Amino acid sequence: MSDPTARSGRTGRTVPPSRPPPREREFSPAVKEELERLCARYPQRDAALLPAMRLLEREFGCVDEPGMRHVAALLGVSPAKVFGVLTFYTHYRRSTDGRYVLQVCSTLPCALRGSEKIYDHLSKTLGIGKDETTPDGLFTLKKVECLANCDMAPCLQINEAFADRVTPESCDEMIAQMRAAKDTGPIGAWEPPPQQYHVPPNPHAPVLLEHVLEAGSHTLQHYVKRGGYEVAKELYRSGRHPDEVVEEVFKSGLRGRGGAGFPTGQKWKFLAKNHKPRYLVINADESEPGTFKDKLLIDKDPHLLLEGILLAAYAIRSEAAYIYIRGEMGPGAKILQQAIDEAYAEGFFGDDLFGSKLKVDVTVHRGAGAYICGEETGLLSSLEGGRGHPKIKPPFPAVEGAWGCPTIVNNVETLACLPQILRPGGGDAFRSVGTEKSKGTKIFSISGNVVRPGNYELPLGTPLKELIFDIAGGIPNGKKLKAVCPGGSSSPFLTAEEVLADDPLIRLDFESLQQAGSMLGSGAIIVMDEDTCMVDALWNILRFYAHESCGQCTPCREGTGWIAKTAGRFELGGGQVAEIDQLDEIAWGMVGRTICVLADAAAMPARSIIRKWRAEFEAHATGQGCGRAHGHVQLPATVGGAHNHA
Amino acid sequence: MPKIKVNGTEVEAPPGMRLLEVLTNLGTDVPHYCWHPGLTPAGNCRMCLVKVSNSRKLEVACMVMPSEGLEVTTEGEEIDAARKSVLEYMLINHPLDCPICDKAGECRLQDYTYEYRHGLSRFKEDKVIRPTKDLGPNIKIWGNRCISCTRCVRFCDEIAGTGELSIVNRGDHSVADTHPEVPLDNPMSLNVVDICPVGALIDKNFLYQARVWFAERKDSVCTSCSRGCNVVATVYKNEIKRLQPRFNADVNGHWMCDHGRLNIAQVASERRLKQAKGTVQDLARALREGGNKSAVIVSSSHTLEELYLLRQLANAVQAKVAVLGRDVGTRWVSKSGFAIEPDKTSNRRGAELLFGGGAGGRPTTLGSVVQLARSIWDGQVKTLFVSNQLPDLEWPEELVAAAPKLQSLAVADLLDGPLVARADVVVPTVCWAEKDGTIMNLDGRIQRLRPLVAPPQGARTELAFLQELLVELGVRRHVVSAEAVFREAFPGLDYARVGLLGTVPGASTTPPAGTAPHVGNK
Repeated sequence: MSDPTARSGRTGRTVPPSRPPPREREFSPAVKEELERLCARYPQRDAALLPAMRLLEREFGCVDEPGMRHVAALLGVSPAKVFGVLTFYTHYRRSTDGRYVLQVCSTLPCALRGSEKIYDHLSKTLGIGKDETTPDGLFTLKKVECLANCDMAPCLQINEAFADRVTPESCDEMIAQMRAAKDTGPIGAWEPPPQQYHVPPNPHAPVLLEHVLEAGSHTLQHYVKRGGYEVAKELYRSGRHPDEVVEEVFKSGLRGRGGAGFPTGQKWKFLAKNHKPRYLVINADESEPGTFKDKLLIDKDPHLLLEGILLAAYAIRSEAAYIYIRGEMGPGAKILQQAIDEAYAEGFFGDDLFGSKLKVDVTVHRGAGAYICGEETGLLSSLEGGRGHPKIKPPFPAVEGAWGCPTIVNNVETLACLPQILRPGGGDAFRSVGTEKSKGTKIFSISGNVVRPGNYELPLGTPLKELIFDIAGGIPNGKKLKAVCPGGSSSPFLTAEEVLADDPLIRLDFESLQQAGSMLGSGAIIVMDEDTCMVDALWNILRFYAHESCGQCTPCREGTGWIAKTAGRFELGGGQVAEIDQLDEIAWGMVGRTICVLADAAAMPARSIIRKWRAEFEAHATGQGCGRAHGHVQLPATVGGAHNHA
Repeated sequence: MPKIKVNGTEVEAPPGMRLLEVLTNLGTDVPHYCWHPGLTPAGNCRMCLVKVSNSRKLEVACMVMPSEGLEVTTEGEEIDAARKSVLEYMLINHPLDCPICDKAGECRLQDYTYEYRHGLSRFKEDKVIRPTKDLGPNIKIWGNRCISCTRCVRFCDEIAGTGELSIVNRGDHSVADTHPEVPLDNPMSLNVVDICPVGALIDKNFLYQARVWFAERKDSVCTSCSRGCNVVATVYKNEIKRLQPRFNADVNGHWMCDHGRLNIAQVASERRLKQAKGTVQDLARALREGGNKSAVIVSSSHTLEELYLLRQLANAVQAKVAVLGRDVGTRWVSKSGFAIEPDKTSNRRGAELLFGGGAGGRPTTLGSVVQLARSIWDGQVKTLFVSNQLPDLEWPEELVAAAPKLQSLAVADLLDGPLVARADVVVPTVCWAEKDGTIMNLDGRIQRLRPLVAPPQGARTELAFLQELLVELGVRRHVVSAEAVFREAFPGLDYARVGLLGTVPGASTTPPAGTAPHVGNK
């Protein structure tokens, strides 16, 4: 029985079905009602497609052909659309998946900490390869892209739960426990112990992260006890003109924390003035490799975000907010939903907020595994129940966004800044921190080869080397620094010399990093030590972008795969010196030619690595290798030549 | 209307029209794949890059809405290099299997690669493999050739409204596909093959039938229903290999239905009549003798010229007339408003015009042929001339049973049938694809049929045969061309006025000369 949903060339061994799969699927009346309630949260029924497929997973253990047809009929969309949406996302359970789907993160921060070894160990232990399922139907092994858990690298996701800092030994233990679990349903019930959050000591008094390690910090009770929702209550009762609030946020100097650094108040001012409803969409699709700050805020201080949502909704006159949380964050979505339920029960969401006659509804919309949904228009396509294809701009979302209505898309951390800014004197306090153009504190996620990876909330403008060496404890095992990726894997890489220099001193703010030829991005710093092979590092991040390209625009769809394969050939010893410039040229051809900037995000770091570490490419091409021991590489049968790292 | 400058020349851009369409209408060639004038723009192929004065980057012309004063450059080194680069990306995973590809010769990948002299591939890696498989009863996909332009997906969503297609997977694994259990099967599905700019979607009926560069392309009109979609036929070795829609904004837009497209088998049918029986003189004699006890059966699929002559004939011998029609199913209207008519005759309006269908009434259909059969039994009709252009018409048993009662039966038809066997005079006739003439569609538009292929040996044009008959009867003096008959029937109109896209006769046009004969059996 072939699985038509499997990607060609990626089909694994399938589980021999004990009985033929049903020809038809149908939800029970109770589940149908649940789906109707979901549909009612959106202006259009078909927007409930992503959550509806989660219902299929929950009820039937997978999304299969009859299930897709059933959901299509219930939502009034074509079965082909459901199939197209299903195959766009990587996180839905397929009919060929085993009880436990083991997803090994393979992206750079985890790779730097040995995730390849974990994958190899699991593959050997279970006797299966990538995307394959054990004959007993118990385990499916997958290699996945960044899980936003980089401080816990190498990390593994087992069904929906995260396993942190895994080792071959801890994997063996978990496998034994999964085997011993008395599962009956199609989805295994065993879970690894809940995540332990490590927020390393922070030299500067944190604001956003002040409470995240306190017990019960995610509860309403805890949040209210520390003065939570007071700013919102005050604002909703004040009767202030919303534009005043926009102005106040604008004056605070707050800039978007998601990557682009666009002034938040300015973005709000772009909202089209018409009679259409306005939507506030919260970008919690944190998936830029190396970034894991929003996950912490959601898991540990969700009410801070929710209060931020209330404040923003007031400022932009929106009555409906959608939190788009990335599919892999299943546990976070649950925590967030609990927090929302608590807040509704307390009257902090819903109608007539704080006696103001104003209403705000908030809905959690869970993605399903697609980096591109972090791009704001890709996110909106996904929110509307489609494939996460970015949309052509103009029109910008502030004019024509979700369902054609004016929409503001803000990052989680951006909104979490609002309670501190809008409390009395808060704007001034916020403005007093940071640099001239980069105000306030920001959460920096640091990962890779550092002693204390984790989230640090620091004033913008903090020197990069201070974070790496003083705050995060420097490079482990006495190794030397080699390279730093300062703003997520989309930012051009910096050399150790650039990072260590006093003049110019690279600071963690939008301007300084731009001057250094890179960018602050989402504030994700990936540190690479001297043992890192830069060709391998390039191959790693390019595999990520090739995997995550939505496939719409020709240069990105084809180009990301091309440069990834070529980088892989170099890594495996099949490159030629003459091809180094060609690789650079192919990357350059992708820049500025596409609907969104994913192609640029792949090309810019690639070009920086080729330029700065060209000698390593030459060494690979001339058969000298790079002389460094590093992660395992699997030699594809089709690429000639031996692995060049002796 | 915003005034813009295209390569230095000032032009006016119609409001609401995207730059690419403006440029295309001006005759400025801008290469593109995903944009199609009948679909909403998608902007994904990135081929139509041009330089516009309000952007630093090159922009895709299909998404630019021209604004006053916009300066556009469509040629130059930067633009050429960019397009060449897009083309290079487009080809890396393409199988380059032109020698065996059905689209060869009409493929935009081939055309632009040729135009941009992009002959060398720098791609050394493994290509992505995507499946080749059936998508539905008539369509097959070569996944490796798909460039994810989404034209087919947009067609199924926006035009047909049936939504059988989606892009599935992502990145370079993206490909158009159906849900595994729901095939691509709708009344206008084959349009996706025409609009596929590459060789991904293939019409199984045309697969490996002809190399298009050896075939001829000839314009005509589809006769499978009263809509009269404008078509272009691909003709190879005197055989119609396929029909494709030809754009006519007033009739069919860019599309046509699958029924019409595939309803070409009868043209080359083995059952075509080839053997004549009797002569024109025999028939003339029979009709003269029959006088007002004669009857003529005509069809709503005759050309206007033929119907005009048949009317002259009926008037000359004072014969009764019954008009054959054919209704199948109900009207089907697509999401975009494209309609497939249940009236499967090509010239109902023409027949109504010439034989007076009555207020809103259609020509007498087979019901009255049954009445005619009764008249034969009653001895009211002794001579019958059946002139039929509807292939495989199911003749009512009553008429077939009554045939032996006739003194004389003449049949002019396309295919063999029960009446032919009983006829004294048999005239094998030519079909819609073999003759010159005009038909009037349901909106009253006169459109022109043209001979696409040579008729089978032995078949005659009814135009000539009827004229010979009328000469024999002393009604007409010469046998003239189709156009001459047309000009006689529609004074003030000629074939040049009908042109490629047809014409609707205005109120000023004189109705067909002569009076309508007695219709039916009243």
